Amino acid sequence: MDNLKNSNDMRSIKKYVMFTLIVGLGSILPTLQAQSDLQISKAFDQYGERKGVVMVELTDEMLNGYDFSLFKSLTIKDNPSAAEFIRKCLLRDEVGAKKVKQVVTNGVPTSIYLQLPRKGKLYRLILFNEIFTPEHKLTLIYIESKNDTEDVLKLILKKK
Amino acid sequence: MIINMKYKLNFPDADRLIEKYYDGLTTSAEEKQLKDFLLQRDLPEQYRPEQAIFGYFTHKNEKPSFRIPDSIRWVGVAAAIGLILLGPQLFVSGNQSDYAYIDGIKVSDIGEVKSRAMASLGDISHSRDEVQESFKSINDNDLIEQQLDMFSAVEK
Amino acid sequence: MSQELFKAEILPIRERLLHIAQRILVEEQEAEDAVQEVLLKLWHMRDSLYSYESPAAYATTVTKNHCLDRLKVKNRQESLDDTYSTRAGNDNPYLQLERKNTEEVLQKIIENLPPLQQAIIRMKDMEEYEVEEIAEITGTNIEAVRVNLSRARKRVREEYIKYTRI
Repeated sequence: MDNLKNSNDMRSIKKYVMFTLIVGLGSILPTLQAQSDLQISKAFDQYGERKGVVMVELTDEMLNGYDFSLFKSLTIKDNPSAAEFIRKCLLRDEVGAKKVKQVVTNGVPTSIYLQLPRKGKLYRLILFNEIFTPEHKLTLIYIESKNDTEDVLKLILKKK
Repeated sequence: MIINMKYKLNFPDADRLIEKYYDGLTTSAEEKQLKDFLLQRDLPEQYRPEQAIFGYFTHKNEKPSFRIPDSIRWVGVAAAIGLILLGPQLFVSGNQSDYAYIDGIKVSDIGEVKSRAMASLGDISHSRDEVQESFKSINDNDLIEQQLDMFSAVEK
Repeated sequence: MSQELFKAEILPIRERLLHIAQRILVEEQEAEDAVQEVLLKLWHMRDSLYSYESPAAYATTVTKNHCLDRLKVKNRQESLDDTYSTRAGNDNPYLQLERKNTEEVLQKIIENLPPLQQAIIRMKDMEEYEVEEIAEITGTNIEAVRVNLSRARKRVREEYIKYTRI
């Protein structure tokens, strides 16, 4: 029927890359103007100041040679229910996304990258990653940048 | 003798240790001695700078209440050094809204905050080497059509 | 665990990192300082190193970027110095602190130290590493660490006196 349903075949493959492009239904969905409109902002509010969590916020800073207008990250250890909560948030934030990229392991997206519609001149990006060994750790990053997020993604996805 | 007991160190000894300190030659034990000496009240004016400096470092040491086993401690403190060295933006960095919360404790030191930010980017990048460039070749129009096909198929 | 990784994979390539630094920064001492800074940075990130296929390759990338950043700052600083020197009167960058809060002043002073000195004074005076440990991590000797520590401490004192005696 369509490529999404073909994932049954894919599941037998242990690791694969799935690229999904979701057309932003701009006229129907309200443009997500501010980060606070995003579901993931709840994750920052809920988990940001807890034990076992590192939350970072940087405004108008340069990291690794790239300019970020806003950089927010959340790193949570040993908390599978937080992972579940954040994945639910991501599913909803994905709806208005311009592009979605995923890395899937054993049928589960272990890395998710969402390129969101721009907020004025700013490009926006959500990055999510969950690992299970050697410990359970999830990382959630929200970025606003004047630079095209393709470049930011290239930076992040560069071969080690 | 009495003077020694009152001030823990006599002034000549203290002065000598202070000079050693500035030459980077003091041992940990000597630094501890100096610290005990300097953190007293009613010391003469001349020790103000050292009092302030030692007081600052002591305070910094006591503040992180998450003083936990070594292996975790290094991770917890990694940032303080790590990113000072990454982007020394001496006059530009240090925004009011740059901060980190580590285990619920707020940290404003820009070096530490940036280091934490870098670490989180590192987490994201290290496990995604499987992402291929194959998606780049797919152009928007093709996908819109595919999506529309999907919708129309569902409707049926 | 990650300490062994650091020693096994990073320290042995110090020479290579130094060459990279020298190519970019040219001046020998500056390149040496830069490599020490990089090693300290990598040391503090060593828990993440295991996740790289080639920690050595990562280290060379970090070195390159670090040296380029250093160049950038150096160029920016030179033009800033020009700016500040034309300002008449007291060019005290710490005056912006309304009350002469000792802790804030010292914090700013330390943040404004040259990167290597800043890193070493933090490791020694705040984190209570031993000089020998710092020497091992930076692949230098105790004397080299002592020199930087001494410079850092003296600088802190000078700046403190300068900016609290208004």
